[in-house]
Amino acid sequence: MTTPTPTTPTPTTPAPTTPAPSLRAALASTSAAASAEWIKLRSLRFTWFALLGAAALTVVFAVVVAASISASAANGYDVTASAAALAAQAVTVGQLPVLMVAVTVVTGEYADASIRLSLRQTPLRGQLLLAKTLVAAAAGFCAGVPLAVAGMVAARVVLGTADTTSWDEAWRTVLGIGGYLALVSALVLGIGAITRSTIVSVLVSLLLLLAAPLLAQMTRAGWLEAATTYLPSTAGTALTSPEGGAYGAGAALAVLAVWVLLAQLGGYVALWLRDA
Amino acid sequence: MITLTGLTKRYGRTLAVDRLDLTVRPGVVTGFLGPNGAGKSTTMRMVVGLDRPTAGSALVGGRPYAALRNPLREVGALLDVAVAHPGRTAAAHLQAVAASNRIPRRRVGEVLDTVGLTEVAGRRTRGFSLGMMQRLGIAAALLGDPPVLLLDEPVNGLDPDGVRWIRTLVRELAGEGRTVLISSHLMSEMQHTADHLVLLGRGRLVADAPLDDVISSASLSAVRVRTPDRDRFAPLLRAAGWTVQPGTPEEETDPDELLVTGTSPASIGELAFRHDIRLHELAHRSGSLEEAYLELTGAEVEYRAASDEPTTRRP
Repeated sequence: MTTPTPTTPTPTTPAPTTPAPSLRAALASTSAAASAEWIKLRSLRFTWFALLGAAALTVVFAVVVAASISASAANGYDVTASAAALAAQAVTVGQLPVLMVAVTVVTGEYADASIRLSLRQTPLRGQLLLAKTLVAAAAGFCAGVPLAVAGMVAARVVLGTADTTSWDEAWRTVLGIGGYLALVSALVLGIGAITRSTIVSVLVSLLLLLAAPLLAQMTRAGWLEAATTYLPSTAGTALTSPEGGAYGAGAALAVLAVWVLLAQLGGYVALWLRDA
Repeated sequence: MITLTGLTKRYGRTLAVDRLDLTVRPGVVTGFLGPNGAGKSTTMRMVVGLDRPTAGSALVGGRPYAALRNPLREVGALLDVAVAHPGRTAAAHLQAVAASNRIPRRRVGEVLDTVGLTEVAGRRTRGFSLGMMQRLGIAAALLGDPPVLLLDEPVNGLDPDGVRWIRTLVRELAGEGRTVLISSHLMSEMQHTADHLVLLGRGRLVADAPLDDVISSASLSAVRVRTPDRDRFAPLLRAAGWTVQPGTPEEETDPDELLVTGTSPASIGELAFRHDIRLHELAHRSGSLEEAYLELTGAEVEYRAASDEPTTRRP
């Protein structure tokens, strides 16, 4: 039987480095991880209830605003509105359940320690994060389309003849909302990877997406107003609303992409640095 | 095969694993023992890449875990309490695991069958008992048909039937040539399951040997003799050069009982016959793993109750 014998201190050997996987192998692993993430997402009732909730919020918001416009029109005010624009506005509220789903793709696994299983399945942290982000973004886009349609249809029904939406506008709005939700889902997922907590992530996301622009408006400081141009919410409005915003859709996509990149980078570093 | 070389893990000021050098071989069931806080779970986590070692390496089949293409097809593990989202069905849970490592879907049905959860496959794991969750975890570990298995307290929550089932399963898996590392606190069960033992104490290797060696060298292995002629027999035994004790402290002290070390039941029987000694019981009392374990780790226990003091076993 072996008993521990005093040994001369051995120089600490660095752990053998992982050989960089070939791109093909990396893509294959990432797509396998992504299909697992999709199965996990679709198998939870929470996902579908959240979608339903988002649709309900969007429709209600759109209807309420449309109703007030419609009432003004009925009272003789010369007012028109675009159902598409109202839908885009309504999505600022309707996005919340969608973002919750995106956040919990990461934070939910830290809550019940199933992140350990995920890391055993996909040990390369970058691949795991990418897989989760892809699925969350795709889910965001796929949620955005029915939300946009539901919002527009509901608003149009209420607005009736006051509606000025053209088919062109309608299509652009649907794609814009889908794209916006995809990018913002990726953004909040990155935040979730950094904070590891559902509650903190939700707070940070709310602050960033809803509170920041409001606060900036209230203070009226010059530099703050300039800064708000680059907030994700401003870019979101530019992307989704047919009435446009501070800049065009292309620039809006770029701004959102930068936010996503920052959050994802932070998330990757957080995953890489810490033990499970 | 699992190879640990100088494996070290430090958490701040605590040295959880201290320069561990170990090879876990295929074809045998290797029992992983040690007091709480000895570093067993940390070691297992480092093998599967969940914790990064401070120094040294943990290799599976000669490669680090992160370098494995489809890791679940190489290493199956059940660590901590088996975890699955309560809102997800058992089948969906396993399907996701299978998809992540490109394991064919039919394996899901196969492992559910192996662990006996086929009837509840469509039920959300919210309603699962601890035993069912453990079995689900084992199913997930077996999904990739891996040549290496790490099981941390697999019998936790299982009824005696389940415990026996694990024992059979684990021995079968080792018999198929797989590497099986199983940690447990259930000494009696470990004694029946493991072929080889690795004992950890305060992060250091305390023992690494076949089960029988550990038991026989560390614990009290003797022949129990019960005779009404004790007073006559004891001096005769001593005269023959054997060590005689009046029974062990834990067992009920029987006035007729003697414990003799240094010889076999046969020799004692012969001696008794020659001197007209009546024997009511003559049996070989083999040592237990629990005794060996307590003796070996007596000094290594991290968390000890105030009332426990290491007792000396030998006279």
